[in-house]
Order: sequence, then structure tokens, then C-alpha cells
Amino acid sequence: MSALTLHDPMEQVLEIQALSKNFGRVEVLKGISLSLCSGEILALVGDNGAGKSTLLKCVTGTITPDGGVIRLRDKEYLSLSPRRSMAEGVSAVYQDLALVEDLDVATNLFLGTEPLKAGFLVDRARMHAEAGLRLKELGIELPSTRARIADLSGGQRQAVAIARAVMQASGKDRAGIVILDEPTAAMGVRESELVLGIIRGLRERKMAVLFVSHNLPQVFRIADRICVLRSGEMLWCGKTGDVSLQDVIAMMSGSQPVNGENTEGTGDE
Amino acid sequence: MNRFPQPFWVGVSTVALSLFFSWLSPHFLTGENFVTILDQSSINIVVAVGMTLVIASAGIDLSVGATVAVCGIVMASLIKAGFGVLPTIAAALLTGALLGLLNALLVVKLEVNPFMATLAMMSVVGGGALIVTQGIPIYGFSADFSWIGRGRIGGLPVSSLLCSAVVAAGGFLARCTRLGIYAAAMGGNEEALRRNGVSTCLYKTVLYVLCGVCAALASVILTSKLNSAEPLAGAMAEMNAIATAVLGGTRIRGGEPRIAGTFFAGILMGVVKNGLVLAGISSYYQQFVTGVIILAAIVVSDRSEKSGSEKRKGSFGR
Amino acid sequence: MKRSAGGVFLALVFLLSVWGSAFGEMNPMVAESIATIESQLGQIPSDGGGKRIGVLVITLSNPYWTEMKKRYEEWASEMNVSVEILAAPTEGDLKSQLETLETMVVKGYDAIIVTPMDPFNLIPGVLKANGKGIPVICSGPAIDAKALKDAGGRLDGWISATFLDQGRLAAEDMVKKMGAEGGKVAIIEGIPGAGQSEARKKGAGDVFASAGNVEVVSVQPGKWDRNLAFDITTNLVKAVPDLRGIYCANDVMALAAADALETSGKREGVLIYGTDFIPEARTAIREGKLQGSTTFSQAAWTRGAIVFALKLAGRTTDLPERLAIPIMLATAGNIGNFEGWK
Repeated sequence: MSALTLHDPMEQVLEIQALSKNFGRVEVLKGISLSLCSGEILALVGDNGAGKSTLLKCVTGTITPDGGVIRLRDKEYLSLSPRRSMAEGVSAVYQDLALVEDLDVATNLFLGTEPLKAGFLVDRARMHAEAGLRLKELGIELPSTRARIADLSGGQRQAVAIARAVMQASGKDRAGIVILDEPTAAMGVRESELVLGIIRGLRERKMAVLFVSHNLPQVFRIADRICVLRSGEMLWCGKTGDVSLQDVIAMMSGSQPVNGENTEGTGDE
Repeated sequence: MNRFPQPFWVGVSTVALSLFFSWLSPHFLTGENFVTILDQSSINIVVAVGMTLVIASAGIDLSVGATVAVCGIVMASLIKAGFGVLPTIAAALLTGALLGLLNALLVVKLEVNPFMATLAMMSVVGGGALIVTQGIPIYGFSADFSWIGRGRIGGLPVSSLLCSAVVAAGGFLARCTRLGIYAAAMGGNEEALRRNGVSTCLYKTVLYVLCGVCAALASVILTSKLNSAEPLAGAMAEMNAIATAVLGGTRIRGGEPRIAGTFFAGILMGVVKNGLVLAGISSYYQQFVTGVIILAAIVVSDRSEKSGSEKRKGSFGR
Repeated sequence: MKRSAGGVFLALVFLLSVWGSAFGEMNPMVAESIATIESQLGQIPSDGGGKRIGVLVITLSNPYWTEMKKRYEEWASEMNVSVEILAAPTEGDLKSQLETLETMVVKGYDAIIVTPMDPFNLIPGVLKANGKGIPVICSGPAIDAKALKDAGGRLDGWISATFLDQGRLAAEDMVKKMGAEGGKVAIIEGIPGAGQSEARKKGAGDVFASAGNVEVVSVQPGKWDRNLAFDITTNLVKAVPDLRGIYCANDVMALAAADALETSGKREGVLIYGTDFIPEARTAIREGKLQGSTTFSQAAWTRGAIVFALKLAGRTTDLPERLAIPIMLATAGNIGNFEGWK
């Protein structure tokens, strides 16, 4: 039995209410609200400067919001620290991937949490064995757990980074919240497909996935819900099926006011 | 894997050069000579082991030469004041550790670039040594002390046995403990390590302290061998150690620490020095030949690195 | 030091025969030095028998030593021996000089001549040579006898110039030239604590002390450095305007002192002596810029060293423990005799 346990579907794991953040006189987030459930893929879209990364950093605890509430499962926070956020099962993969090129896959997966024997010796055998299992669970195929990160393709590296995030986010009694920042950036079609496949796999494992992307066609293919951000405001948040690509583009660029439903997914008051 | 790791090339070069030198001089291929090479390479290899760990973390320690000198002066003063051999050695190791700690403070707490920080320490510590001794060496101390640098156990010089112990310890730390992994991680992507909740401050400090202790151990061997301590004792020790570490396959911009490579590289450099003297070739060629070997090593390893990665970037899942 | 009339006679005979050979133009001062040296050694072997001698000097990036190397090589071809001169890559690197010696021992020379950087650094190497039965001669600065004995080693011979004499001869000439009225003098030494420097200082100092009408007003360390000696002299002549003589432990400093006095307009009436007899000093003595320089003949030294080594390699007993190289004083008066001096 793996360490990832399955949960009741549609349990709300993350809720943000009226989150605001100013940098000096610039209002980067102006009262954002959204919610996320386990087993759900939520895509956060918006043009550059819309406030997406600031929002992500508030959730991972890197930035302290000026106002609003972040609810993680049954706990409410006015602000988070990276440690607290990680303890609550939130883990993120940023565009820099935070992998060590020179070290191999297994070492990267267990960086900071290496299995030990005799108290202080690194148990490499166990590390590689467990790494192999984890990758298999997530449906990731790599040449070997002993492959150096530097020798892997972009898509393979992304997979390793996501696997590590999953390992960090998962706990005994919960499925984790995985945040992905531009997971298919600068990737060709084939590689993107495989990354998207992994993300779908996360949903099947009842993890909650929040990802940011500029690639709208891909968003429309895998996201369950989409939230559109512009200039620090949440313009629209709802089911993917309820909106069209053109509408989203229009909202992102602000060329037209929104037509259609606008209320689903802003969370219970 | 197609790519040959650097230690392989070092080994090949060592064999090739050995054949060359044995052709030039009949005295090269003798047991006596091999023991001489081992003995003479010990001091450099000991320093280089500590340096390897620091370089792996994308750091550097230019102050090891000054540390060697200061530890020598500390030991000489204690021995002449009547202290026994063991307390004296302990004092030297403590001195090395303290100097390493100072380096760590500069690099970790004050976030000074390691090159600048240890360069400054080199001047301060080295200058301090000159002031304390007024440039005059301290001479002539006990015979038990010089056993470390000159004695033999079972036909092998004590110095090379000590050197082997240091290499073994360094290799163990690098391969079997988290220190090795974290050193390489700090060299590759320190941010990644930090994000995984590892205290890079702590581990970096440990690395610099270990480097200082290695320099102190080298100083023990050197001081006891020469039976004198002088402020210029460690001149060029840092350059030789860096060259040895890099030649051994540890990348200067950080990465996996290759302790075994450091050992073989140190032997190679010892072979070069020894062979040139046996062949009667001017000592100026020592620096030149060593430099050429290091240059070749860097170029070869860089190129095999790049071509290897490109070959292997295959597609997903095959 | 043993002398034998027979030895002197044989040496002179040998010299006469050598005179007729390629070294026919040998400088008489050099010849005189050689005679003095060889009189200490007994019968000189006529042929080296192709023996191999290793020589370890301090450095080969210094004209003093490169000249020494040339002299060794000249004698080597003349005497049918093979001499190999090696040095450590850097001056002052004690360890690498030791390593070079250790490696030389592996080569199995018939004898080894070493010039140690300090009294202790070569002791382990000497032990190795002892172990292989290779005779070791120390040339120049001494190896510490007690430390060597404690380590269980043995030196088979020592060649040195009496550095004391280098200071002594210069001082004696200076005192003589100062005449009855005497006066104030100063000494600019080399590196305090270093063998040659201390010896030269003492040699000159003793002479000055015993001369009743001479007063030593200052002893300063010039550290063999031209700039430093220049500055010291400038300050000296300001503090002591009636200074009459300066002995400097080497020519480089003596020439700097002369320059300093010249610049201060005080060169007149001051006697300056140096040591080493470098080419610049030779010209300076001829021109009167310097009053004298003490030195020994490198040709004589190297020849003495080779002969000493050959005798040891041939297991001759009855050799002196120390071979003394005579010091000569070059002044304006005898500078002519120094043409062709090596």
C-alpha cells in the first residue's frame, strides 16, 4: 500500500477569501477569492502582471498577504510561513524546478529527507528502491533512478520535480495540494503531452492541483475549472465547460466585459 | 555509459607518464621510488581532500597555505615549551578548525564571496604568522615528533598511511553521508537545498571547518618532516590543492566531490615532479607540465560532459 | 684543518700542468685560491673516472647560482666526471628542496653535494643518502650538526667560505684606510638570523670593536634589498653627518648606499665596502664608487667541491671535515688582478 491514501472526492482543501497584497502603492492583489477541492485540477490564467505568482506565493507562505484569509482544510490562516504551508501539505514546483543537475533522480527526490541507516548513513539502496516505486505510481518512466538530472530532457525533469512535490505534499491522512507554475513552458508537443498526462494522474490520486499556464489550449484540455485574473482581480472562476477560449482571452486582455455566469467556485461565504 | 570519468583519464595519464619516465631513467620503476612518490604526495593530497569538499559546494579556500603555516608555528611553539606530541597535534587540529570556522563565518553569516573571504584570510593569517615570528623560522624540536613525518610502519611512510586515512575518511563522508550529497547540492543548486528545508548554513560551515582541519593535518606531517616551522611553510599549498581537486574531477563551479579522483590526481602530480628530477629535466618544467596536464583535464572533461548530456537527452519514457 | 707540505707541492705541480691546458688563462687569484683549497685535500686524482656527482643548489633563477652551475660544468668536462646540478622550483620552498634531494638519492650518484635552504630541511634526505652509502657534502650554509646526529645521520664533508672573513677583511681594509683619526662607521646587515648575514656582521663588528679609534654608530637590517639599504643610508647620513665608513653585507646594498650618499651630496670621504663581487661592484670599484668587495672564487669552490666528492666516492679516509674556501678582498689597488676572475 502506498503512502498516498485516497480521499472522499470533492473535499475542499484550499479556500482563499478576499486576499489582498500591496507592494508599496501598487495593489497587486485586490481581494481574491477562490477554492480548490481534492481530485480537482484548477487552472489559474491571466496576463503578465495579473498577480498570479503573488497569489501562489501567498499560498506557499513565501509572501505574507495584507488582508484576507487562507483556509487549509479546517484551519484558517491570515498568513503562512513556508514551513507551515509545507506542513499543511502544500508544495509547489516553480519554473526553476529546484533540482540539482549534478545529482541523480533518486537523490533529488529525497533531497533533505534521505532515508538513513545506523542513524547517519545514507541508505542509497532504499532510496533508489523507493524512488523507483514512487515514479511508477505516478506513471513516470525514466531510464533509471540513477540518471543524472543534467542528462534528462525538459519533460523528464519536470516529471521529477512534480514527483518530488507530490512526495512532499502527501501525508498520512491527506492528499496533498500541488501547485505548478507553467509546467509545460518551453516544451515541445510530445513532452507537454506526457507532463499533462502526469498531472491527470495526480487528479486520479485525488490530489488537488492548482496550476498556472499561458497555454490556453492545454488548460482547456485538462483543467476542471479555470480562474481568470486580471490586474489583481478575479474576473471569472468557473467550470471549464462553461466558458470559451475566446472569452477567456478577452477577459485576460480586458477587451470586453464578461458575458455569462460568474459566480461558481468563489467559495462558501 | 560511454563517457569515461575523469579519474579514468588521470589513471591513464599516470601510467603513460610512468612509462615515459621509466624509459628516461632506470631508477623510476623501483619500489624505493614508488615509496618516495607516495611519501612526497601525501601532504598535498591531505590538503586537497578538504579542498575537494569545499570546491564541491561551489566554494573555495585560498587560506589553507596560511593555515598550514600557522598550525606549524603553534606546534613548534608548544613542542619547544615542553608539551607532548599528542596535545601538540590536538592544538594544531583545533587551530585549523578555528580558522576554518572563521572562513565559514565570513562566507555563511556575512555572505562574502568565498574567493574574496578566503583571500583576505590568507593575507591576514599569513601576515599574522610573519608578525609573530618576525620572519624567522622556529627550529629543531623533539625526535618523537618528527616520527610522523619521517617514520615508517611496515616499510610504508607514516605520512602516506595518514594520507590514506584522510582519503578514506573524506571518501566515506562524501559517499555515505548526507554531507557529500549536500556539498554537491550546494554546488549545483543551493536554492533547491534550502527549499527542501536543509540548513545550508550548518553544512557549509562544516565543510570549511573540515578544510581547515585537513590543512592542519597536512601541517602536522610537514612540520614534523622538516622539523621546523616557518611563516612561509604553506606557500603555494592552496594552488596545488585546487589543481589536484580539479584534476581529480571535482568541478570548480561545484558538483559531486570526487575524493578518489583527488587521490589519483595527487599521485599523478607526484609522478610528474619525481620523474622530472630523475630524468634530470629542469625544475621549471614542473610547473609547466603540471599546468598542461590540468588544462588538458579541464578541456577533456568539459567536452565529454557536454556531448554526453546531448546524447542522453532522449525522449520521455523510452 | 690539515695541511701537508707534500700536498701544497703536489697542488702546485698540478696547477702548473693545468696551466698549460685550456685553463691557461686562469686568473692568478683563482689559481691561488685553488692551491689553498687543494692543499687541504692531499693528492689530487688526475682523472675523475666518469663518476657521477649530483649537486643540489638553492635555486637556478639567481645569477650567483647559474654562475656556480657553469663552473661545475666546466670542471666536469675538464676532469672527466658527470655533474648534474638540480634546484628546487622556488627559492624558499623548503619542502620541494627536500623532495628533490630524496628523489636524487634514488638516482644512485657516487656523491651528492647540497646547499640547504635552512639548517634542517634536508636532514631527512641526508639520512636517505646515508642509508644508501652515498657520501654527502654540505656546501655553504651549514646543516645543524646536533639535529643531524639526533636523527641518526652523518655528513661526510662540509665546504664553506669563512663568512666571518668576508666581513673581517673588508673592515680591516676600511680601518686601515681611515688612518689614525678613525671615526664613525655603520654596518648594514642582511637578514637577521640568517647564517651568512650574522657571520659577516660579526666579522666586521669584531674588527671595528677592537680598533680603538673606531665607533660603530648603527647596525641596520637591509635584508639584501636595494631600496631598503638606500633608505637606511639616507636616514643614516642625516643622523650622523660625520659618518666615515659603511660595511654592507652584500654588494647590492653597498651600491645602494653609495647611490644614497651621492644623492644626498655626501659621498665624499665615506668608505663603502660590500661582499659578493658582482659585476656591477667590479665596475664600481674601478670607478671609485665602491672601496672594496670581499668574495671567494666560485671556480675554486666548485673545483674543490668536485675533488672532495671524488675523494669521498673513492673511499679515501684522512680527509678534513671542513674544506675552507679562502676569501679575497678586491679593492681599487688590486682590481687589475681580478681580470678573468671566476
